[in-house]
Amino acid sequence: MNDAILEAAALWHQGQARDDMDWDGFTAWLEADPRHREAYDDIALLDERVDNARGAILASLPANDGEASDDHFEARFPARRPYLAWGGIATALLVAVTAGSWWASGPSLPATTSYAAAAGQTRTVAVADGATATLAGGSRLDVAKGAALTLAGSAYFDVRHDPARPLTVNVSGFEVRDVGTRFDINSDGKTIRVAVAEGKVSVAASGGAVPTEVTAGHAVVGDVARGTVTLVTAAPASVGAWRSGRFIYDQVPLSLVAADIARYTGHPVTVAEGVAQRRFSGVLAPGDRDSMVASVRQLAGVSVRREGDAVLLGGTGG
Amino acid sequence: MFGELRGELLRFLAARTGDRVEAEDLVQELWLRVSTAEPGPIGNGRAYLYRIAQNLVLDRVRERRRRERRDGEWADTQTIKVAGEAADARPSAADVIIEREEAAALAAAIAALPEGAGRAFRLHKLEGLPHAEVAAQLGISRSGVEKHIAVAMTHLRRALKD
Repeated sequence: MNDAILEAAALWHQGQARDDMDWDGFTAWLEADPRHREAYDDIALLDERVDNARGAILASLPANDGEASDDHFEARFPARRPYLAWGGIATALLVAVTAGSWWASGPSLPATTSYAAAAGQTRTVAVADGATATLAGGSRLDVAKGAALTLAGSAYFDVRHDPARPLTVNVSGFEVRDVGTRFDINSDGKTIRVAVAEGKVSVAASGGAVPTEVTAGHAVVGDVARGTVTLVTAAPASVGAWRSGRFIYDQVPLSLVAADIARYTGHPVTVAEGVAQRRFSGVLAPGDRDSMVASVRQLAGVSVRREGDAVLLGGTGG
Repeated sequence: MFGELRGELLRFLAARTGDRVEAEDLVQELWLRVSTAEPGPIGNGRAYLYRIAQNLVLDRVRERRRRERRDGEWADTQTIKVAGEAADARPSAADVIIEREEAAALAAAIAALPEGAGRAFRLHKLEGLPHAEVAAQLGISRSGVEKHIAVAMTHLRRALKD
């Protein structure tokens, strides 16, 4: 197979994320030569390998390019170094997670136990036999004995496979059901997102709606008011990345990014109606509200306005 | 919506898989997926259907290649070991090593990319910036970014060919 075919395949592959992708042209290209199909398979699978190993690749690449042009690069993009220097932060947060681990045991366990994580902290709790939940800062999880879990905010779940006892999490009027997997739930009360790193979960609006299956590498975004869901792709490496101090987003509604910042920093961040559902992809360094909001403004190109104690993203006039 | 597009989706899937029968099967699966999912408001329904179709195909390709690789490994094991152990349980420590080797191989190949292609690839694929943002940072056009990344993917494919 020649390089020209592989390059063409890679161009088509990148184009498919765009709404103006030329699907007819892609079909014609595939039909033109059977090698095109094979090249496309290779490129798509390679792309997936990179996504799956993204965290480990970043960890093993040198921290900078060591070129003379690097200063220039650095000056223009000040957000770059913090990201590459996150190893230390990640380690610190991992320690915090371990120290925060706690499981209520003993005979006096109340019927419902509430777990909450303070702003800027994560907390890992055992929620059932073989299942743990890591709560993002500012989130709460209610665990009732023998009943579904109820989540407000954001949490990452790691569930050992047990078909006889599926785990159900209620969140903002949706039911997320799982029989052994790793997945992440995020909700701001209006929008939920369930992203799967491993295995498979089903998501349905409460009240008997037909569930949608979500497999590894995918996510659903649910509209709480309508009870509908939309399936999107989600790089597995981005799922639950916040647990190690990296906020990695792959096509996440802007409203949920704002909710993450608000919970993490403990200060309100709101999003204008018009841009709330805009998909955001990028990486945010953990920091205070102003620095995180500034990164979002830079990456997403939205305006930022202060309204008293609150910060509004995407309001008019900016 | 689906009814109108069924014909072109079938044609696309036949081109994508090279197999008319599999394409029919996939169209059926696609229809089941969208008819039960009630996907709700979508900006571009046609692109959405094509993307789901792409995902379905890739799931199959991935599974097929994994099976081929596993069969190959199994055969290797049989030729080396006289008394075979249970063929399935690969210890998780070995998985960890394989994952680490995979990341190291990818990192080495990425480090060896031509400069422009490597930089665009890192910003987009590793640091997660959208194409438009990479274009702004590198001071080149968006199609220039896509070309850089296509070159990078081609190099990686060559470097990592098993």
